[in-house]
Amino acid sequence: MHDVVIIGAGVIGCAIAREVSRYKLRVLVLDQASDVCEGTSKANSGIIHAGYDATPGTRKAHYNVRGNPLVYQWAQELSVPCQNNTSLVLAFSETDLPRIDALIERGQQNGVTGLRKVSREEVLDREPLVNPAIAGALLAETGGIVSPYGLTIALAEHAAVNGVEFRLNCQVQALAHQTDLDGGQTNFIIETSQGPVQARAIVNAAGVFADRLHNTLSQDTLTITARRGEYWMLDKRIGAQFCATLFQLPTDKGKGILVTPTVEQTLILGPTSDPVPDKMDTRTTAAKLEEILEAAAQTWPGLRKDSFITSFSGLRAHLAEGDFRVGRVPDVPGYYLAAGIESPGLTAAPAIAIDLAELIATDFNLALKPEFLSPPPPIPGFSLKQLADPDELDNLAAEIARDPAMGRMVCRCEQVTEAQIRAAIRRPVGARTLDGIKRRTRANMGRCQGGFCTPRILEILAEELGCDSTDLTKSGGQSRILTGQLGVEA
Amino acid sequence: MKVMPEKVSLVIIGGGPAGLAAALEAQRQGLTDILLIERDQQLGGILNQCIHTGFGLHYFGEELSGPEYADRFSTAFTTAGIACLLESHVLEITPDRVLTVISPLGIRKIAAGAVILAMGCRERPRGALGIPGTRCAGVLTAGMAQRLLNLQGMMPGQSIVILGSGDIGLIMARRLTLEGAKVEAVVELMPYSSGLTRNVVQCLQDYEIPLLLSHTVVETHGRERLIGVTLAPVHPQSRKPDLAQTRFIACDTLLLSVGLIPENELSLGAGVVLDPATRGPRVDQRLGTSQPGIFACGNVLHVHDLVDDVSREAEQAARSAVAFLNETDLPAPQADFSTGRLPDQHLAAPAGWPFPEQPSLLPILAGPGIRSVVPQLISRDRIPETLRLAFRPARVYRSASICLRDGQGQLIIKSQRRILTPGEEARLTIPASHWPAVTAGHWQLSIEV
Amino acid sequence: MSKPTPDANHSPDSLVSPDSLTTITCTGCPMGCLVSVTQGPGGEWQFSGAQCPRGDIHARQEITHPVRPLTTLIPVRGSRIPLSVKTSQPVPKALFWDFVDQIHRLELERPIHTGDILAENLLGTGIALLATRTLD
Repeated sequence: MHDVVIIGAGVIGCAIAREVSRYKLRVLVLDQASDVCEGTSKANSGIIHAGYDATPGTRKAHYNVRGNPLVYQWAQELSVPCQNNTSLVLAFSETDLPRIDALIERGQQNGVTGLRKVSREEVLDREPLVNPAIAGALLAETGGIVSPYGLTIALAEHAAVNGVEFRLNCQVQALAHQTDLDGGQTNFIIETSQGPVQARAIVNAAGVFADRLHNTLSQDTLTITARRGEYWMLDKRIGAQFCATLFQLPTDKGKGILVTPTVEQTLILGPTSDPVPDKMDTRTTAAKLEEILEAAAQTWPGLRKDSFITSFSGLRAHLAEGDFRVGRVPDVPGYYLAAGIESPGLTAAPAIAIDLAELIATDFNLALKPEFLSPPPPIPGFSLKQLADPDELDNLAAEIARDPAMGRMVCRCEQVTEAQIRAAIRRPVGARTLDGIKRRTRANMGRCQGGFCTPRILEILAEELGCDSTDLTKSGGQSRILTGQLGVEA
Repeated sequence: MKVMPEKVSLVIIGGGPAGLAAALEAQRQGLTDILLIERDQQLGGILNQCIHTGFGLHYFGEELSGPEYADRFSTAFTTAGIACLLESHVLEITPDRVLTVISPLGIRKIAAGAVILAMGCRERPRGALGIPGTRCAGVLTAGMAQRLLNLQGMMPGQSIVILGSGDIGLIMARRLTLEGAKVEAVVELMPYSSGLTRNVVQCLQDYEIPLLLSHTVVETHGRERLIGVTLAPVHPQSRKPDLAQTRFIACDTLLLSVGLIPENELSLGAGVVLDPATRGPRVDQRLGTSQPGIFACGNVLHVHDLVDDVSREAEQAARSAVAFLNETDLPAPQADFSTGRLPDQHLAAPAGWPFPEQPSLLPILAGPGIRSVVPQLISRDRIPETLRLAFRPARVYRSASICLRDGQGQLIIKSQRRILTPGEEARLTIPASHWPAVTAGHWQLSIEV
Repeated sequence: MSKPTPDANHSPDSLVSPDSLTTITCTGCPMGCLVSVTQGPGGEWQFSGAQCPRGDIHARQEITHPVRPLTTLIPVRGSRIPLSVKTSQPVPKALFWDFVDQIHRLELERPIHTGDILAENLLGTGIALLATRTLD
């Protein structure tokens, strides 16, 4: 019997897991995927939203504004790459400028600080590559970028260090609750692909699938639509030429396409937003990828097609009501919900997790653990910038002397060493797949997209996991990378 | 643990065919203080995974497999006793030729008298093409499949579609067939194969593997592992797919053989000016880059069809590097290698494109019909006996002339060719007798029908 | 391996005589001439369509005694890297798959050096199998 079972290991599930791990509890996180962060949390813009966008009075507005400083704080605590690069919302005509004022006013109602209108000249001074035809922009000083998978994985690791169990490749098939005859206490029975699990409390953080689970428990049903957002990603050489996240002022034609550097200095363009009937349908489409280019060229007229690294898409859990649902579910005691967490969900995650953990603590009268362990130190790495410092260089030399694998380069594009790949596998909630390695180390994520390093990574994975290379997958399930071995009968 | 800077006369980055040939030639030229840096555990580079034959006909006069060709050079290299760092990765080259090198043995700073870039190239990945669809397992580059199969004995798939008919794609079609896979089709965007005719015949026709010209992959399917791809014919001019005529081919693997990109991140860090058409450094006839003392050869300079040409080119780079080391008392030519650079990467030069005049450099422009040319510049102070230009035609030409003209449009040399195709790099030799009195302006290479 | 089949990869402007027995793509250069092969009254081979003499030579070789280079891999016990091998000379095209089967049946052990003869007389043809890699 577990005290709390969290269904879904995205940023929300992992944040809640980390927050409830502060209490004396047996906590289990379940996810159908082979790794944490395999859904919405791995494929989004990675923006720390300032909070001027959401309608005042909504949960989105509330959690966004509260979450903004918390993401910076958490990222620092967890050594997750994050940058306060500011956001600019570009107005492309004089007639649009009053709408910048409206955004500032809305932001101020939401309690956002650091918003101001900036002139065309100031925008071009800050971002020389922006379309010189703009009229002006909103500057949001608290806007930022964070590695969405970095944050999710770090939260999972920190939770695991504090005793939270993660059961991956584990799909929830049915949910039921029953009340003890004597004590009147509710227990949940969760049927999973790995057998039944019992819990005193459950948290539904199942992203696009949250409605399916929810509706088997509660009379107050939910409908979640998956909305797909497609993106392009460009080479670091290009990303380094931008600083701020560049939004477009929404028009009647659409919400606009953003152009933003990532914390890894690549550049992303996107997202589109289209409802898809299949909640696993993360394909990209020619039409939408073309649409992104056209729209992004308005922000950045110098956009050319020769520095693309990849395209990708992610699904957003959109509730019909248009707002987040966070909290208790009145007709099912012991059941907590975080549903419809679409943008600005990444920014909102810390505040949502803190609130839910407090609700659970109150309801179950929980006591904090005497000792809450620190997060594990980040995977050791180095950057070229660092190595310009002779002391750093000497430190690295000393590290290589201790562990030669620290000097054995595996991914040349992102400069990831064998030691880092082994560390990614050995960490709490460690990598088990090629994509798991990618999100923890960036190996495979650079300009060659794994062309050179994949064969070596497969060897290391097989060695560390004690399996055959042919058992290894890209992202679990049937996503095997190899189909056989010479001289070995299939 | 103090990292102390070391000094080496000549550092060669890359232990593939280019780096090995350069090192051996530098030693033959009398240089002793040479260091070769290789990132893999063994020398030979990509040749080690190219187990097919077809190498060495020009250089050795016999047909060798890739590992054998590599072995000839690496054995000679080892016998010659030239210093070498294996499993060593160059993190950085500064414009004044200080290298930072990381390896399991530690980290080193090396100040080089001269540097030869021989890092080779990488494959264009799927993302660069933006093929829409799912991002499942089973989509990989042909070279990675070649490494998995030929060096690790691993099969990347059983039913295979190959996008791109470059030689690696064709060779892999045969390799995978021989190891029991079924190659369903090779799909080529252009109306012609970019591989050698011999490979089209011996790797595809022999096995009845269809070659679908003027087609492309417009979608990948399969949530976890690839289950198939959608193909569409492309418009003859625009190359845009016609989505009204798609067809589905079931397969578990899509191999990409869609181009090679010289790997010049280090070169850029050293301030080396690149050529947008080759994506390698702009060089003069000595294979010197815009940074004095930094030379380039092999696939990092421009993608070659034949390794034999790589070896010869590397030897030229080595001779130039040794000459540079021997004459370091002379002032290094201060020249702007961006001279004559075209306004747009993939466009041929408009006639009379203006560029700054530089007395020491004569630019050679890729004119109509020419995609790229190497060298891009001639240093007038070192006019060679004969000059060889390597160039890639922009499309297939039958019965055409290669014309080299000076800035006034005067013909310098003309060479008739039966066929020119982008799949085969062509060469034009200009004997010293054809050198006009040193002209002002530029030269332009073009194909005239 | 079977006969080359004329298909989409042949340039449309090549001329193929309708009564030819077969057509052979010359691999001598990028022209890829399609050489039509017919038989004269005395049973002698006749070739047409090539734009240079190499086309006829190639077509004659292909029609009378086609051969192919053969390289492949053999897994070696205890070695992570499979052994790459080649035949000492191109093998008759008709026997190609028989050669492949025979080669894949070989069981080898290290050490093996580049140039080692792994089999002397494959399928009684006098063709040997050579290692093209060293596995110490």
